[in-house]
Amino acid sequence: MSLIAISIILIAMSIFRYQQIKSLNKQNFSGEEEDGVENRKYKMFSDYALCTHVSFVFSILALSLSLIVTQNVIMIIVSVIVLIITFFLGNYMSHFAQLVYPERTVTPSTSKPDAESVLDVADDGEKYVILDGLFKSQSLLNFSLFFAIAFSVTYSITTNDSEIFSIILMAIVLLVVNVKYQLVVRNK
Amino acid sequence: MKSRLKELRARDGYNQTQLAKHARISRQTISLIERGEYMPSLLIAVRIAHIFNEPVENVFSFEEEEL
Repeated sequence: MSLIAISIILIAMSIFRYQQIKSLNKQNFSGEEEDGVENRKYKMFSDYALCTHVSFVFSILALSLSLIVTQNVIMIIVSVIVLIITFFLGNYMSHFAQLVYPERTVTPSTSKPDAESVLDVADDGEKYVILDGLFKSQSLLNFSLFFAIAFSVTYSITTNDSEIFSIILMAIVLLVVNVKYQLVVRNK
Repeated sequence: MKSRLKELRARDGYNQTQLAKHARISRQTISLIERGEYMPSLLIAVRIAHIFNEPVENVFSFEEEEL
């Protein structure tokens, strides 16, 4: 229940950020004030993306726990609704980006994944920022999965509650992510 | 690398958003260059220098050990 509540709060925050940007877009600014407003819009857009992503993960977790632990039909339905809302908010991100950067042509390509279309329209400085973020998150992902596997092994041994399936899945994710990275780098 | 972007913007009355539009880059990139966190490509450096009507070396400068 608390996970669903957090998801709903995050969805509300995302919508609030969206409304704030829409209201800023209706006003005219100039000089240093315009730079300040552009900076605020950029931060608000980042907040929207962060809230949407976190909400999406929490709603998946809420749905999973509802299905496995509580098996409460109402909780399952609410979790699915929250999940669908966060999914649409995530998909709306490229349209929202056009609201933040109206002069940019952020057209969501149907043939390419979103991450690639974002890279297509990003300039050098933005790509530098994206690369910095991706590098840090890639390192964190490796580190986190390694420790998650280690904790799951410890848990399995100490409680006799086998986590072997989760351990194999985490190892596969670790493998796929690293092989994909190395192949992209190797084939350039 | 150091840049005189902020000083030249003040001289010519550009804010970051306007300079970014003229240089066909994002405001974020202008901000990164001004803060010395990102070294622009030669093309972007030349574009910015053209906007200020200055040679590239008058806009961007390097410490001796960077060269």
